[in-house]
Amino acid sequence: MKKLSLISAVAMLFLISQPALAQQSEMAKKHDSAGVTCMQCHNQEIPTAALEINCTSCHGAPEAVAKLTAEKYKQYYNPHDPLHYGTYSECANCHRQHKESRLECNNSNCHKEFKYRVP
Amino acid sequence: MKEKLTRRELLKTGGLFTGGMLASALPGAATAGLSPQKIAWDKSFDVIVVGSGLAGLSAGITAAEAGSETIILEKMMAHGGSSVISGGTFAACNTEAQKKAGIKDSEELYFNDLMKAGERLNVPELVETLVKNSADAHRFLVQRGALYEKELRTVAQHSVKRCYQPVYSMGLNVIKPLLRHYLGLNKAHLQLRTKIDEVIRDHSGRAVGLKVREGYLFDAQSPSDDRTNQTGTARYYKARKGIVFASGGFSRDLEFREYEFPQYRKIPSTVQLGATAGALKAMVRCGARAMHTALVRFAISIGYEDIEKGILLDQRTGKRFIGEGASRMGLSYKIVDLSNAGSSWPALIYDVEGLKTIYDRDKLEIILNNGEMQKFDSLDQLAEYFKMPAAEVNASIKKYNEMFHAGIDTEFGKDFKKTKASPIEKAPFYACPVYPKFNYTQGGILINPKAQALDMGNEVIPGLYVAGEAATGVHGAVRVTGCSTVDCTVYGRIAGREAHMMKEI
Ligand SMILES: Cc1cc2nc3c(=O)[nH]c(=O)nc-3n(C[C@H](O)[C@H](O)[C@H](O)COP(=O)(O)OP(=O)(O)OC[C@H]3O[C@@H](n4cnc5c(N)ncnc54)[C@H](O)[C@@H]3O)c2cc1C
Repeated sequence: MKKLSLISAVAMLFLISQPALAQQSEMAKKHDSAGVTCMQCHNQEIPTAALEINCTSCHGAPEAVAKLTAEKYKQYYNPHDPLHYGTYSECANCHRQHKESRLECNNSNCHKEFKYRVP
Repeated sequence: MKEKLTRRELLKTGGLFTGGMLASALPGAATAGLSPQKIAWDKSFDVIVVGSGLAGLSAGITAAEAGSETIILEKMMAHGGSSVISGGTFAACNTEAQKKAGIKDSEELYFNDLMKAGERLNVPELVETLVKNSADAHRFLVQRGALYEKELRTVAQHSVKRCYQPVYSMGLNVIKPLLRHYLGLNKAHLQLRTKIDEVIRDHSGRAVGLKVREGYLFDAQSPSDDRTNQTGTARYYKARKGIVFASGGFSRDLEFREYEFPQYRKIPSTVQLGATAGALKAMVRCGARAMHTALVRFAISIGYEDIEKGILLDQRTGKRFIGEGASRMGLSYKIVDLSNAGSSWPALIYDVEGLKTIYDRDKLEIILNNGEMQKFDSLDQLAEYFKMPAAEVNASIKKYNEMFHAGIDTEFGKDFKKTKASPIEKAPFYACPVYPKFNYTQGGILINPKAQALDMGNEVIPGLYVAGEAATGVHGAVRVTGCSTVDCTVYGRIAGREAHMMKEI
């Protein structure tokens, strides 16, 4: 609590510098309706992008998340346990709150054939 | 438990170019170069490795296995760099597999192959070290879980069979087991999204720490992420023993490339998105010597052996421009010239029978699926799709077919029999663009056989090691297939071992 003023300054910064909030991403809508606050993802002194640790505190460890989608993608590649990176890649690699989420696998057209919808 | 190092000590050396930055990072610091302010180290480790590809993992594993507290720092959101998307072919001599298959190889033969391909721009001692340690490097990987096919492969520019292929030709079958092994070691850490900005040298010139940014978010859209990206929180990490840069190549750095090789502005890159020149620049700023930075290697968009079976037409003129059996780099240079003169990529054309003769079926499958290889009912349709002059396309193909049946290529002297070419006669026709893609940058920081970074006077920079694609001197003019992986492993191991053996500070 000692950094209260800094924190609110940070929160302001977010509000001002995030025009993306106007046309909310799917993830932002979900987080909003669940009452997730800025600081739950960005618990840092300076507003840096959320670290994985802030995701796992609510969503569980990467291995657990991978299990959730294993069944759905069993015919293909489980996006939470991809061939290249296993469970070692950061959530924000694909899931973005203030921008449109995207599939890292075809980010530079490496795997155009992947057509997953990324919330 | 923050360890302090006086700022004056740091600033005495010409190697420290971080004065301005330190001043801004340390509130109240007076003018750079004068104040005895101290660096407050946020964290400290025995060995710090920059980059989580094959070179970084080889270094990290070696240092951690020897007992050093080790951290691998990676700026991207995932580990593995180019190594984890690579084909992973690995060339080694005097191996078990060679003995079993009765293949006669020697260090001299391998050495000569590399020197020849490298046009003798290679530093001989570095090649020698690579060759001598190649078989042991392969064993090192396999013992730590890397998965390779049993059969060796024949690969261009190697005078005998000496290439191991990872299972499914996927570098990930090497990197994933290595990472698991590394993370299972005592005092071995991996930290993603940590970008290295500066190397810090002390009064004696030794590299003692790094300025990094934690929580970094790489921006693939920036023409120069290293310059424009401000994300992350600055921290100072101390290396009690040594620092290993295993930071890979830089062919994704558009701004750096612009002047380094202006003739290749239009050439795309297939290496990992984070292959920028930031780490190279940081090492140069601390005094290390960069060399050969304009030398590159290209990959081609389709299985290279299959190009000679079809006909290649310049997109703008609809005419042939080279014998289709030309060398990888020769063909690449020609295509670069055409594209700089205003053409789009040339079209490689087969007919339905010709397509059946393609050797690299896996690659064919991929480009048929991703739309790069298209199917056409007529040559006119094909010409329209590629925006080529239809009359010229038809004329070029007619002439090619006539020469094919006569058995002599009077235009470019291609050997129709040896190349197993087919005429272009029977619909449907298939065509794809052919273009070079950056696959490797030979240049980097010059090292010695102990993987120590050298400065402009060829003096060792104590505490600073460089391995893998980030280093230079091994390959000379052009890297040979299968020789980056072995380079990463050999010099990664050496760097890890040497860093571990440094006197602790
Ligand atoms: C498609 C493809 C196929 C290939 N096939 C083969 C092959 O069959 N055989 C062969 O020998 N070679 C092959 N190569 C080349 C080979 O894979 C690479 O040269 C090699 O993997 C490089 O390994 P490395 O450890 O040096 O670097 P990388 O694996 O690229 O790792 C470097 C890491 O350092 C990180 N980094 C960079 N700068 C910083 C910084 N400032 N701070 C923190 N981290 C940083 C990067 O993000 C990256 O993850 C291929 C390459 C490609 C792209």
